[in-house]
Amino acid sequence: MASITLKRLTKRFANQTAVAEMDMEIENGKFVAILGPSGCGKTTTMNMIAGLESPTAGTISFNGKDVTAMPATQRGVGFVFQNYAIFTHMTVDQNLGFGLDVRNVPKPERDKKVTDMAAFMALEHRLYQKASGLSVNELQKLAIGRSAIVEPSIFLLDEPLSNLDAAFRERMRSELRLLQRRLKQTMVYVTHDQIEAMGLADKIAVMNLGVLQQYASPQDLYANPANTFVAKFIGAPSMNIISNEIICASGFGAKDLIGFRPENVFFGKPGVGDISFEAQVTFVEAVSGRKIVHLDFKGEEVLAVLGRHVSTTVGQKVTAVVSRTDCRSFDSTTGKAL
Amino acid sequence: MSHIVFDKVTKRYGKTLALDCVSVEIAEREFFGIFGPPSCGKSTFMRLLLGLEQPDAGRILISGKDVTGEAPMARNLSMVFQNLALFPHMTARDNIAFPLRERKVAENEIEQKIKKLGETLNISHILHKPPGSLSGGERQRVAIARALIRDAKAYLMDEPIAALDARLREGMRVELKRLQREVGHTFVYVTHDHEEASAVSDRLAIMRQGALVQIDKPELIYDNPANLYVSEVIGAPRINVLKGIFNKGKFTGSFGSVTAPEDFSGDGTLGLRPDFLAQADKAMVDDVVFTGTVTELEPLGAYAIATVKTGENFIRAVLRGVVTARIGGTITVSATASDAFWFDASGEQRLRKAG
Amino acid sequence: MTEAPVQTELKRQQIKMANWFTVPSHVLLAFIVIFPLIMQVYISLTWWTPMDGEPWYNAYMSFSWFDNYIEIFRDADLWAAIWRTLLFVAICVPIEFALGLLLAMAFYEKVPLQNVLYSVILIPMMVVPAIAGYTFYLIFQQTGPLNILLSSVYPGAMEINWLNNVTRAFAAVVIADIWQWTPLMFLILYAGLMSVPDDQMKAAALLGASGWQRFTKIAFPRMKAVMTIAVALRLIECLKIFDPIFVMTKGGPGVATQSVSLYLYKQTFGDNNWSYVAAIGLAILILLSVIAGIILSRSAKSAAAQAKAA
Repeated sequence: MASITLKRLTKRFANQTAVAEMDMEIENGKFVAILGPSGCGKTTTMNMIAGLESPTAGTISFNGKDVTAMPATQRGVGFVFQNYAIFTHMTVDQNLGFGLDVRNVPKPERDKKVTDMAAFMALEHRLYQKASGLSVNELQKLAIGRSAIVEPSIFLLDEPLSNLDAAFRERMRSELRLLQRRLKQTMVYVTHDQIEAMGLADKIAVMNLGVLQQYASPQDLYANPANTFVAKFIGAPSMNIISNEIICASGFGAKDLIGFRPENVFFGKPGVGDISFEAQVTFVEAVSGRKIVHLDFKGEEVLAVLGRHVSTTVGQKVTAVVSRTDCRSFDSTTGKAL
Repeated sequence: MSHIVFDKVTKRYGKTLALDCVSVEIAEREFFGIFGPPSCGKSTFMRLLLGLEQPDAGRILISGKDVTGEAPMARNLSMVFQNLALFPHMTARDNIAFPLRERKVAENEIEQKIKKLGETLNISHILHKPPGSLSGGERQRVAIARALIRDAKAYLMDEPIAALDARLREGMRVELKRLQREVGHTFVYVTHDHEEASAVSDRLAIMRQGALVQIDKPELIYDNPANLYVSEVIGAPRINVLKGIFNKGKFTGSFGSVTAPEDFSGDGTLGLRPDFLAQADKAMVDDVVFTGTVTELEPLGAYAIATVKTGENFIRAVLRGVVTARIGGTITVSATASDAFWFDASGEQRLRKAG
Repeated sequence: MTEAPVQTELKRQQIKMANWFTVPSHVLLAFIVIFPLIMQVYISLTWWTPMDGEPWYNAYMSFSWFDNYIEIFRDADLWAAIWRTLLFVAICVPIEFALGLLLAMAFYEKVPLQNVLYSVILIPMMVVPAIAGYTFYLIFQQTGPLNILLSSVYPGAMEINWLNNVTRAFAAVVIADIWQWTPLMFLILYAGLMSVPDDQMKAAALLGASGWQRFTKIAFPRMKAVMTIAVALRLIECLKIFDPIFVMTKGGPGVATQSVSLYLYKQTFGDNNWSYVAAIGLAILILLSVIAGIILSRSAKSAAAQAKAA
């Protein structure tokens, strides 16, 4: 088990900064997700923690010990690649045992560990088959098992669920959590899928353009986003953000940006202190039993999520209402939460 | 614009049955979605429709004309492929113009069409760039523009936005739907993402092992699945499935016992959407009620998914509003009787209350 | 289920079309392979040489049946040349392979000035073999740069005569061949190494495998097909060694460096035994075909296994 500390961690490639002065503390035994759109620097950060890339500036410490210059081979970090990087020329047994074999673990101990891990990952019936014959789902389990078998103190996962189909992804999400609880390792998980991050992590680091935007618990990110980027990125559909110049709500600065979540919008009579506006329904999507209603309000698109029993038709005029407590305000120039 | 008919179409590859006597009618100006897991036959459907392959049996009709056996060129369909297949050495504009230049359409006419499409798809400002310097979403739009520029009888899309990341996909699916409304063409859309399928389709066909299991409006499929399979693949989080035995208005299994319609008997399956389950302090008489221990709580922002252990089973419930549940605590969740889906033991057949 | 008639019709048309497309390659094949082969077989069964003043198609006038083939078994000089060539191959190819592999590994792990070095290393391969031989001929002169260099550590070096001594001449030719062809080995093996998925090498490193373990456990097993091809290429080429020997030693001193190719050359242009050379050529062709067949079928198998693995 280990904590990870990043201090002013920076990585510059030829003409661009992939990660800029990142400060982050990942506590021992926590499950942390690094979340952001593609190209935000999340994978680079992960690679630097693993030692696959060396930082341009800044330091990385495990348990307070500086490991910035330590080669990947010696860091003892478990790493699951997005495409799993399974050794397809080997059998499942050889893959699982790889980390033990290169450390010359005695045969009886090695075989026991491999058998145990295969059983845990439900791969025992495949043990002596070539890994190339496995299904995607089995490959994923094998990749996790292969890293877990050497009991690394830190476990890094690079979008491990993105190649799976939706149903299996949901199941693997719970399995990953169970695994983490059982192994009690520090886990760092890179993903672009906010639902995955919200569902799995104790804490989430949201990154954009190489800069850490906010590092907080899922509930905190959702309830109190630090800026408009986080507000838009967390939650689906995205938070509505409209200038107060258009919505003219009292109690906020005239030029502030007002943000409210589609699921907090309802149609009907506004209560005291609620913000309300007249809008027209332009489009309705029905997804998983909910209706995503697209509204046009003075040329701005506002989304509302309603229950499946609410009936709306395109062209209908409605009064959209949001409770004041559900609104957040942001500075119009910096985008920072006020 | 067109009317597409598959009349008892069957296609085999060696011993595997890729399409099993598929019959479907796609209306004019319809956005028709086909959803199914990988290798369920969706792509075979597309290939047969395009004419890249010929059926072993059955007929395919476009605009009332039998096109079975006709070459792809003769069918006049337009297609967006999953890998986009843009020409990397041409600008976006030349890519889009390509199908028309191939057909020797006058340049000023091409120019006009590109201008209009560029505005509709919001790509006017990037037309001079080669695909290599465009973002994923922009490349996607260029590929769609290239497919839309010519007048085809229908526009086929095979997982056109699967390669984009989640955020972009959400935006693109709305745009696609709007686009289809605007241009008023027939779209046939294949995807393995159930949310995408539900969001874009006017009607949706659920495919399984080469057969069409249900064809309906997406919201009706969600509310009224034909069998357990459909209820499982449509909707997230995944539906709870409980096996048990009916006995005089009760359904009993390893999870305990809940209220069930009186006239069911024998072995059965209960499907219960996590979304339909709500935390209940007091439940109505007919409600399906479970009490158990919370073993997991996933806070997802607008809602939380609670995993509840009742007896030997784990059921998941979507909790909205202020979540008071705690891991390890006891919780009661319930669904109204009409929201419970009952199936036979195999899950193949939906059981419906008499009358 | 019976196939719809439309499909069978379409299929038949396609197959017919496909056959027509292969016609040019058949014609080409007949011209470059089959015709010369038949000609060679024909000549090898006669005593014909161009000095007779008869055109080759009249060679039947001096028909000799299988005398040329019988001669092969009696020809001690030929057999000496064959064994010498095999020894040469047995020394050169393994050394070239090992050096090429080491270089490829070094490059994979990144060496300083990688790009410059890469170009420099490939230069010997580009040199015309005869010119390479000529260069080494100069280097190995008694007053050549090698001896001058050696004399700085060993005072008697200027006395060493490289190309006039049986063993040293052979060594000189070996060195020339290694110098020229190690780069090709390097090029092929480096390409093979680069095609090993990067993620797998990284994964192995993160699982604690040392650099050497990464090569032996991950890279080499995946490079079997490439390695086989590299060795096969060099084996075939090396068995035909001619240019550097011709330029450096003319097969001498005596016949100490005479390879099969050089022997054939001397038979043809020195002794005018054209039909005999045709016979030897055929015999070698058959022998090499068998060897190549075995190697290729094995590498095809391992390539297929690898393709399946990927």
